[in-house]
Amino acid sequence: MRYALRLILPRLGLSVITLLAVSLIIFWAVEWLPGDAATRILGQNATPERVKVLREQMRLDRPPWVRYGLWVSDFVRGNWGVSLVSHIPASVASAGGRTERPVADMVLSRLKNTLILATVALILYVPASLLLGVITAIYRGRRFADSLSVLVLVGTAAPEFVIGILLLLVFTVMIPWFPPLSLIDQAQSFPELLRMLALPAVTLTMSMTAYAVRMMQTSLIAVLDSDYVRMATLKGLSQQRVIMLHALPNALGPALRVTVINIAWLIGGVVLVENIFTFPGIGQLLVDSIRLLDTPVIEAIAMILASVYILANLGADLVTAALNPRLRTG
Amino acid sequence: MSTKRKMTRRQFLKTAGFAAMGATLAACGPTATPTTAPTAQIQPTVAKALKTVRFVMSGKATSADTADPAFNNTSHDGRLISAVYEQLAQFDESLKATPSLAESWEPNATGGEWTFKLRQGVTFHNGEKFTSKDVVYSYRRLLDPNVASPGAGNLSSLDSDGIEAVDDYTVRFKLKQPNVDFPLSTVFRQAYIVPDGASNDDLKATANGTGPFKLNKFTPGETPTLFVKNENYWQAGFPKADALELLSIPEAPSRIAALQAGQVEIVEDPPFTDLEALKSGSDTTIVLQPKGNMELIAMQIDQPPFDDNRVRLAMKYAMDRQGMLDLVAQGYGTLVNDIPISSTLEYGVRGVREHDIARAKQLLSEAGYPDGLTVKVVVSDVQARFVEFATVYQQFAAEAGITLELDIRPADTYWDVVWLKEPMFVSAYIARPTDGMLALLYLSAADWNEIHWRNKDWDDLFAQARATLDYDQRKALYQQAQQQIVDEGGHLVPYMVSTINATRKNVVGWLPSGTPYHDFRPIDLAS
Repeated sequence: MRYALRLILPRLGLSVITLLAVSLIIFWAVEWLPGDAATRILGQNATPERVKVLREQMRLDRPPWVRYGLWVSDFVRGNWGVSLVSHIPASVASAGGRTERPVADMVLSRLKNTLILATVALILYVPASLLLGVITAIYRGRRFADSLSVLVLVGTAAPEFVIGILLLLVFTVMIPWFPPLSLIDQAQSFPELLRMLALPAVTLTMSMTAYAVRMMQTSLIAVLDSDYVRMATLKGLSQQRVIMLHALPNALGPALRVTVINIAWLIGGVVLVENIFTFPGIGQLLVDSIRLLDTPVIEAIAMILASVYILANLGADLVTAALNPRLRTG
Repeated sequence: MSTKRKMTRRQFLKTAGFAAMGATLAACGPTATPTTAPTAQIQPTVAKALKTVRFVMSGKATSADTADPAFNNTSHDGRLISAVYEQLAQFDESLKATPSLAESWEPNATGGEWTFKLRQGVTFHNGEKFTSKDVVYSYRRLLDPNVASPGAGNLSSLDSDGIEAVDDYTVRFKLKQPNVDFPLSTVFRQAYIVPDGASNDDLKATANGTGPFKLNKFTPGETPTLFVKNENYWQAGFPKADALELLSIPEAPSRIAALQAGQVEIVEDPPFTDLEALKSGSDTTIVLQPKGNMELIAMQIDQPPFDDNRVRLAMKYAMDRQGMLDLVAQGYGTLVNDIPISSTLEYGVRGVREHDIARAKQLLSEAGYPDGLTVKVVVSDVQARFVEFATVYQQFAAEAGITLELDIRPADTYWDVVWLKEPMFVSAYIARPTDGMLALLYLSAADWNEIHWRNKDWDDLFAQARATLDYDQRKALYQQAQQQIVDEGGHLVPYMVSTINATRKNVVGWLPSGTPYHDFRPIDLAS
């Protein structure tokens, strides 16, 4: 327990600093982009007078440092602010009671959807990558295992939008088993929800699994060739026992690292998959907000993604330490 | 010792496994339930047995979408507001004004004062009667500088005092200058009638119009947006459908798959590459509307080398219009002559310029470029076909000795940084009535005067056309004003692309509009 605390506490402290740095970088990156939310919304209609009125309504006429400071002080107190683009239309007459959209409402509903999708994808991912990794490592050299390896390589090479569109064409148009639109907010029952989640989840799983299987296979092969495993085999232990209890725990480390990267990617980088299946997730909201330069929404999402990344890394370190006694004592 | 270690590992793997499962279940359980909750309320009204038309729009839903007509801007706004609200007048096929909420209109002897008779027996969705008060309020709201509607410019011929309710069903507009085609000026994206006294907040997320459909569920940036039939709609027998769903599907292959799988009924702007398959599909077909978008290149006529009309003319003669249409738009469209006004519209000018390389070369050498000319055109994929348009024209221009350098810029800032600011760039317009398009693009004071056409005599000619009561004389003046731009202006406009929608075979009554105004009333599903 003590080693865990020793590991966690300083890391949590560092995380806060990291988050602050991320928020600063994101804020200034958005500042430096040409235009602002007012010009992005007005587009072709952006005459100087209209831009001026809209900037005042969005409070974009204040200096950037002031806006950043206000945002940070609100954010640490749990207030995520309101979406800039929801300021329009606002008038003097209704200045007292604007119906602005709180960022938290927008982000959390999308985050919930993405989490559902990520969970389903992870449920498929863990057994798939373990099983394939072990099989391709143990039976390497045999034809079926080698063809599996090749398939996995193809999976690594094919980007998720290729896999996604292939699945879409095959399983919605040619063999209409699944709906092409994953509008999960519209699902009326649990089976319908699962049907809508199936294709995007499988697409994500395939993209993630390929990489993890490669890592699993390589490290398991290295471990299987090591002296202590040969020793265990010579001791007369069954192959199953050697693999499950002696080899696998030591081979899991690299695969876990990959899993962490996969989790971080799952939460934030699923934009393409969300687009293909019209999935109402956080990735689409992020892209939309960047296009409109809606800083409070971008910041909130960035904070969530960064937190997921930091926590996932911390979790992986703990698990690696737990699996490897040498790290525990050191 | 060894047994002990084995045990701890096994235990660890077990507990870790259970912990992971627990976490995933926890994430799944409480979050999965609320997803169905919001839709549960609307299901009674949008039941599957009713005729529900699911409509996929061409643009993307964004968090800047609004239900307030005064800020009608995005592609989602245009469709939502067309379903829920109505204007005084509407366009017919040749973009002439025909009655909608107004039954008739009458100018005074000079065309400087217009009296609109309103339709009686129309109610808003909340049951209140539609009267002249609502019209006066809606128009004054557009002109209010505190509201800052982007539509205010369309009403520049009016001021707040010039709008008055004569009685409950009569409204009078006093114009600053006479305008014989004023009813046309009452049709624009922001000119929908909202109830008297409705505040910005009332109108932003909820909607209360007189239109054929009532807004049922709308969250900016999220689709589908749901509509149900307005049972009290003033035109008997309409709308035909019981419910309407407006969807945004960003990826083209997914849009087409959804249509083929029968998950949606209508898809706007399917990719040209899919048209043959959709046309010959057993469940799908396509619908064509000749009106649509006109891609063009704008040259600013006060910037060298475009300040010499011979250079502009050479650029125009170098363009193979039919070739542009065939290569960029697969032949789906009609030819247009260097002004974004189709000859099929009222007052349109007929005929198109020949493709004449020899003439182009001769004009260039007369202008002082016997060895050819190099110019830079700025372009972006901000709209479909923009880059293709510039690339294909580059090939035609090369034949005449014009080297066209493409400067491809990011889409996000195109309207902000490039448009109106560079000497030569790609732009586009959707079909508008002749008078509106001329006023929008060529008046000296026009916001969108992208070619810098600032000509006092032309402004006078235009004002004279607007104030001429006799139809034939007016038509001649409008045509004269257009011809001047065709001959001396800085616009290279080869074609108008047809608006194409793909539909399920059972969809009847639907015709895409080719303008920002959509008539959802006649959409029906054959059983």
